[in-house]
Amino acid sequence: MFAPIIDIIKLINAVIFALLILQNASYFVWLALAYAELRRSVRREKKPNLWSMLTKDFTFSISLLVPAHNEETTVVENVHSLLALQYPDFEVVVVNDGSSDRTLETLIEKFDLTKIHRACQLAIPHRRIRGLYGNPRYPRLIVVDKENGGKSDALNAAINLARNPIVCSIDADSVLDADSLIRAMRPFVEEPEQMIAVGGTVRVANGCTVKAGQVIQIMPPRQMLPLFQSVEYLRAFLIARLAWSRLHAMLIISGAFGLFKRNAVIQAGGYSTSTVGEDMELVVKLHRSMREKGIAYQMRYVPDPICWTEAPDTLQVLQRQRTRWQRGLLETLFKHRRMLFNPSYGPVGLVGMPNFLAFDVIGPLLEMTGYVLIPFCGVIGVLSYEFFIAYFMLTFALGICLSVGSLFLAELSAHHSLKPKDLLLLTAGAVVENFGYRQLNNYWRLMGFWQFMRDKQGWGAMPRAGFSRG
Amino acid sequence: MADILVAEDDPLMLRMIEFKLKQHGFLVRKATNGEEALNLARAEKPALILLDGMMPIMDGFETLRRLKESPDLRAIPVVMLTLKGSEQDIVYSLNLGAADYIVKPFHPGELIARIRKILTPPSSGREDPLRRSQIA
Amino acid sequence: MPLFRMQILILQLQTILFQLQIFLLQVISWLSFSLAMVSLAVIMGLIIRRAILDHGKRLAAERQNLLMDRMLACLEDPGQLGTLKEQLRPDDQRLLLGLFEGMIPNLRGEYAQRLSDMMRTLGVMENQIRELQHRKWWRRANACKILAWIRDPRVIESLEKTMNDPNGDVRLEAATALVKLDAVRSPSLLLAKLAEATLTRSLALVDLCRTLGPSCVSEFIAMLDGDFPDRVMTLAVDALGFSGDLRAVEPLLKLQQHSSAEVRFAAVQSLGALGDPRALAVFEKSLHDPAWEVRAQTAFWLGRLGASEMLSPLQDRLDDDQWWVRYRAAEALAAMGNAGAIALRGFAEDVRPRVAEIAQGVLNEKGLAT
Repeated sequence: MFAPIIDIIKLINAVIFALLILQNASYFVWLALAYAELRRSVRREKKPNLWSMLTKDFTFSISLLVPAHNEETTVVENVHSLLALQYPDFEVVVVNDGSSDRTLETLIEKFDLTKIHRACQLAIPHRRIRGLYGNPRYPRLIVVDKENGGKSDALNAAINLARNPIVCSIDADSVLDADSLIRAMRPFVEEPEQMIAVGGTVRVANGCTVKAGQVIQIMPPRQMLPLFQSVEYLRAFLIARLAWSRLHAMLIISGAFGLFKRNAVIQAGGYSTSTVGEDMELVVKLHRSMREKGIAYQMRYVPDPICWTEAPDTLQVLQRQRTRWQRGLLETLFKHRRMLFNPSYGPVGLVGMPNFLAFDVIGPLLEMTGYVLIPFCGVIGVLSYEFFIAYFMLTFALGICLSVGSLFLAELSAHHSLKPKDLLLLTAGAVVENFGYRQLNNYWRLMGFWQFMRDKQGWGAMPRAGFSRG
Repeated sequence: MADILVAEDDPLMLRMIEFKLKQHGFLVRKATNGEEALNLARAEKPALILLDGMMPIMDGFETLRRLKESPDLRAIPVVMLTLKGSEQDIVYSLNLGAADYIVKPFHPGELIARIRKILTPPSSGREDPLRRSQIA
Repeated sequence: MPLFRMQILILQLQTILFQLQIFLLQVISWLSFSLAMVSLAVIMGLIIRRAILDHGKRLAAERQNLLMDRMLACLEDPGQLGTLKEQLRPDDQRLLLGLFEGMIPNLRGEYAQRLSDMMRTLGVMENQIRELQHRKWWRRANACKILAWIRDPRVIESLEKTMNDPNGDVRLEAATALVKLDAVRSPSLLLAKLAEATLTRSLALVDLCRTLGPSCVSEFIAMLDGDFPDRVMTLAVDALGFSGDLRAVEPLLKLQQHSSAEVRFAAVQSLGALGDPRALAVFEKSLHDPAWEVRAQTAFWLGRLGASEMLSPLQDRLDDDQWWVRYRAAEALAAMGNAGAIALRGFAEDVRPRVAEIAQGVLNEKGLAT
């Protein structure tokens, strides 16, 4: 009488197994694509014409958009380090997003700012701006004081005020390499008309020596949790994004460091204020808007402009971050679901979006089911010993192989090369992360999934204040 | 002999400038970033400071500003030697109190001549002929 | 009995399938396991390689410092050059190249000339000319970059040959080197060799043409009448604007009738940069160009030129549909002294909201508000 149930369980096992094989096979395809793309870009970036790009004025000018909310302790140092970036022509637009601490006052005191005016195109709606501040001694700095409206709203205000053709979103708490703007500009110089967005690499700063807003010495984190994230970031950027960039299906440019054509962003309607994953949503929206208008465009990921970010070192904070990311991803996928499998959206609709659906939505679900179901089946003796072994080999051995593969790419790409013993530490991290951290991560993704489903039901009840054009 | 503090992050350039300065009999102290330069300046009180514009940790322009803000260091003449040649950068530096501004690529001989000129005190007896003719 | 035989067959098939399944599972297990082991072995290999490379780098750095001191001494006293050349080891060439690449962009004048002469004597030039034939394109491109610093007839000859390289990036580097060496015979021929879709879009080519501009004004003017793609035309127009040569004004004025907005845009920019008063009459028409980019650019240059007779045409543009045109027009008015400021103050009270908004906004921004 248990026969039908056992058959169903066997079927589920087989599906999980098949998907696992598919998933791993496509990871290997990515790895190969990423390797090819990296070879190409390393060759191009080898001794880039940084010199001539710095001295000549054929680069586009950039507006850096820096949203700041309650960052009074760090904001001054961060702005100083941004102003010291090596680039011929840029401005720094800091937006104080209605901080409740003394973020604005600190900026005004330390940079001796006074009230200024700037005519501004109201291309994207946002909350009211209370005032603009500047100082002729820092001609590149403009500080915007606005009512609180969240990160996307702050970015939108900054985009309106920006005067330069390229805007670059930057997290106020991350650190840029001094030459990263020049390196990220390269695709725009090569394809000035079609290039609309360029993303750089984000790496984990924990363990590195940071001085005056610059990374002086690169070291992998000495704590477990940041070390795992370090490997994870390398894998996400050096395998996934390189491969997608190669396939013209790049769907994420990190909010911590991405360059966009201002006009394209405005045409797409700016950052969405109703999602938690505004950085991904913007990129998807850009793809959508360009495809629907039938304009030829390109987006590219360049591995060597590097932005350093402080990774959470407690489980609690990390959990909050990961569930939020998952929610953002699902919201974006749901909002733009008509692009899924739709050939009129090109590689993004056919490869990029389905890939997210398969590996970031369904993948964790199946993997977690497998962890429970397969040992259970093993215990009650429904499964063959060989199946059991093959499943765990696929999960763990290949998992290790892929994590190590991203280190391999990191070692190839690095214009900051790592010391042998640091590389060894990262390798250890790549092996160990498969036992525990990976499962935890999947669990958080499921939590994000659950939160998303719960929010969906109460969609209409979400309070939404009207925007004032200000 | 006068000692000169050179702050430059490019090791090749630092070595070349050091060689040139030593050849002309100067004593050379080296720093590879602005912060180091500031600390060395405080400790050693050099006769002149040569600053590269773009350096890690603290760039030359910020170093210049801090030097000129500090009461006991502001008297030391500072020469900027940098890739940034825009009018804005030059005016900014000279307004802050830089003694001279040299744009890279530069001529090493010219660098030495300018440093010499700054370090040689204007002899009191001689009058500037141009000045006099203007007054007359 | 056939049924019985069928059952046996099915049973046999099931056993085979089962065994096949077991076999496949084992293959997967072993494959995964060995892939993991291989990847670990590879990364260990890389770690060891890195350690060896780091060690080699330290040794090379020491040797490079030594070489640099000798080189600096030779630059002061060329008499020592002979002994240095004799003491060179074969693997020193790479270090010499590194020194040369690192130093030469910072230097100019006679000292730079001496450095580049020394490199020629030490064999760097010969080496790099040979490198132009290398199988890998990035090696060829890099050789072009280095040769750009060495003034020698043989360098020019081989760079001209490299202009026929199958790889576009290499040709671009060779062209840049030729421009740097001031050895371009015909700019239109050079551009023809670079006329490849991906290349002509690159801003590097814009820069190349601008550098070429002042020495090739008449060639670029001749190109304006020729039958070139719009993109190449834009390059010529842009280069003329940066040449500062007033002979270019008349031919550029005619381009205001051109069919491509891109070309008209470049023409406005070049005329503005040349700053010739003859452009004003054309600019008045350009303020009504169908492409808003051209209108905005025209307003921008009118502000730069401070042409006060353009006050009233500019005022019309305060009601343009495009924000940038309105902004540039208001900005131009603000740059025209008292008359412009007074006009803007009037418009700040205008009944049309977007006119009043931009006038007031720019008055505030420029500190002209009363």
